[in-house]
Amino acid sequence: MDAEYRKQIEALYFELYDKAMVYARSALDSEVLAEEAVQETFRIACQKPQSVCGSPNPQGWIIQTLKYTIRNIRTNQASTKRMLERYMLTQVDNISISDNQINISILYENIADLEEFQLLKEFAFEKQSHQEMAAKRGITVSACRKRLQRAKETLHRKLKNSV
Amino acid sequence: MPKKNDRTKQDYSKYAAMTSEELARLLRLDSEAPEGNELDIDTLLYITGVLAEREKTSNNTGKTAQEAWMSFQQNYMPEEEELAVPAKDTKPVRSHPWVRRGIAAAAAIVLVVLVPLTAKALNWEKIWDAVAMWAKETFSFVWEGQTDVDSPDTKELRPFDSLQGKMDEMGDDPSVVPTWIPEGFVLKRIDIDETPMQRSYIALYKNGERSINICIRSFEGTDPERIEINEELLEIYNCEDTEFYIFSNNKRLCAVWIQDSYECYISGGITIEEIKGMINSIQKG
Repeated sequence: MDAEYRKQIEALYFELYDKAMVYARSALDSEVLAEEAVQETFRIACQKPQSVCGSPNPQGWIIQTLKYTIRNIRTNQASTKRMLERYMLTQVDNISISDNQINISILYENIADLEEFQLLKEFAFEKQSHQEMAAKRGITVSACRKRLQRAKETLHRKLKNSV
Repeated sequence: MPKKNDRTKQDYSKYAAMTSEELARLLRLDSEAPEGNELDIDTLLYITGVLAEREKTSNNTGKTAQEAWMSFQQNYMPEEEELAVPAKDTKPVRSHPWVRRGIAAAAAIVLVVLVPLTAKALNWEKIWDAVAMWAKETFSFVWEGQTDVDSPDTKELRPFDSLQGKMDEMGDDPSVVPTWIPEGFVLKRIDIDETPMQRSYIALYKNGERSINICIRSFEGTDPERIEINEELLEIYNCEDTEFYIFSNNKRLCAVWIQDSYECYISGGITIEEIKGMINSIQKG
């Protein structure tokens, strides 16, 4: 990224971080998700520096992008949760009950699958941020994002095969 | 709540007098408001500024901007190779001009029927400007395997491919899609338009020179506007407690409706009996 763009984006970051966090926190009711939304917003800004720095209202650009990012987070969480719920419903016959404990691991054939399920559950039901999930696994946020995407694709395939 | 394009000088003193809880609630409502019904950016910046200042005063803050910036550089700053490509992972592909015009026309219909209450702060020209901009700026993620529908060697879609299947694959609810299409029409392509705000599916069916478009748009997290009647309305068709608004538009029939969290429309050079047949098939699944 051009050094001048980087300087401008950094300046915007420091100017707007607190305000953006206030907005995101109010919208998402979660400190970690709010930080995720703000960081994602500036990540997008770094990928589109001409757009934000060339805008007649860069502050407005950031806030508007933040709004879109927040809505995206909500949409992704909701759709992943729906997919997981649908899959769990298709597996009802496969769940074994032993000593009144439902053996949830029987849904997944191997440890890799279980790890993917765990990731999806943390994202959709526990509403964890990518950074939280990444830190837990000792991987980068970018790697976590990719693993989550692969987990969603696996879930989709399982849903398709279970019909 | 001041509307987006209210050009009068804003008096922010009323916000300064509100409690932090009231201001936070305003922000939350703004994040859920449909487009056109949101607070303007200056008001948002003012309110968030007031709240940020109060949080500092009460020492009720999380990370400082400096700490967050360091975390950003470590965890979120795109790597060099990512900075060379557009923000979206999928390479944007311009859709066929015919489809773009169809999207703009359909968006115009949808906006006419779905937006009016939210657009009262805008003048009419701006609404159509917004439609044109939306159509221009929407990236069309062309579904793999699709080729130009007018070229002689257009590939047939795989037999199991359908709009329902594509929506299902993307995690959306396919039950809003008609399961019956008039005889002779074949699915030619599915475009998925995705913005941070929403996802739209546009399916094109063809029968010689005749065509049908089905568009399904999700609006997760927001409320739809109610549908307003205009002079092109032919009929409000009620089918199993859902109202379908049937319009004529330039020799094509259109049906527009809202179902669950989706805004839907059908548009085609078809008869009213055929469009009702498609509508009837939706409820039967």
